Amino acid sequence: MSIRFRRSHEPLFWLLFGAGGLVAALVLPAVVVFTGLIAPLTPHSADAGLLDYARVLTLFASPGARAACAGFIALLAWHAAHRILHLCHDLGVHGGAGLKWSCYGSAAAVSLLAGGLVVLLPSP
Amino acid sequence: MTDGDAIRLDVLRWHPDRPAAPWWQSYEVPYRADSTLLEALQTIKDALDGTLTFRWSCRMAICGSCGCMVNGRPELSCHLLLRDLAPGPVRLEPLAHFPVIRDLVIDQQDFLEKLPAVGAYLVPAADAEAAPDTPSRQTPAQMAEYYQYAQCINCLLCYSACPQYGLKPDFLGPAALALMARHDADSRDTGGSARKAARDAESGVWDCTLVGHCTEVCPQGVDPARAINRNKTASARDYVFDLLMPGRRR
Repeated sequence: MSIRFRRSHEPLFWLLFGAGGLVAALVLPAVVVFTGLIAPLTPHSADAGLLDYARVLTLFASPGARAACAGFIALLAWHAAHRILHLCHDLGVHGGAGLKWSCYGSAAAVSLLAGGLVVLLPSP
Repeated sequence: MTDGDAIRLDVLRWHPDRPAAPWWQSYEVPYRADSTLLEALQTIKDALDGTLTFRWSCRMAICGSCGCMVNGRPELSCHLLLRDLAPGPVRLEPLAHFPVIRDLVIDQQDFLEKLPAVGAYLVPAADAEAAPDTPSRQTPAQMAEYYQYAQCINCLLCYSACPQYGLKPDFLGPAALALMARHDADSRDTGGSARKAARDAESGVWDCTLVGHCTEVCPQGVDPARAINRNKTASARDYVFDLLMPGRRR
């Protein structure tokens, strides 16, 4: 008996998953440490905190910084979608194409939203 | 322990000619300090119950025949000392995820069909094939590239350990994909391109979710999880190149 093979499109999602994993492992902890520990624990006057709206907006003044931020958010979403899909499979929940579409669809929606914010965010 | 101890083995049995569901049968087996689990099965067969059926051959963990589930974990029965399983009882079942022929004997047919499908054989270069008496030289470094994967004895413990194979039987599985990597990594081999269809398929490397239990249970120290996931990188690279350059392949 010979087995017929159909090429998988998984590499596309796996590459996004891998890139998202890199962001989750390297970038996210730094963001959490900065926004969750360093910024609130740094002594500052009431009107000039590290995370003041105006100051953060200045940080995202350049299109490159905005694109990077949107890219990180999108990759995290793809990472989460792929992880959830495979977790369901491992737990014996086989949602078929519907689950696939909803997982990756959500990631695509988050990506579009993040991309939209790059364009719509006001300039400082 | 002292010689003359006994241990209870609970064996899940099934006979194709009997309509009954599988049943558990218990045996009290005497053992010595150097007795293996396989020897206990042989003691049952010889002295207690000649109808108990199991596969075995070499008794030294190299033929890969005597695999079974021992207390829920895939093991070679010749590779376990009873003193390490004492005080028991020891639960023995046929290897998980395979059809059972009788008692502890499973049907290997699925794996035997997958082996040729992944091209688990050496494809020599045309000039090497034209001169079969000429040795194909290989440096120690070239041999080290595949040697670990070449230790596979086809015992199928990794298939029983793999939850993905249990969920999706058409998954090519750990041993077949490790043997694919073994031949791809061999400097004498030229069959890599013919193996790509199997590698890139849904049922190829992409059904693996890197649980890694295959590597843990392998009695030969083969690392199928590594083989498969290195091939995921190669498969993903080819996918991107084929997407960017249509007509590059096939």
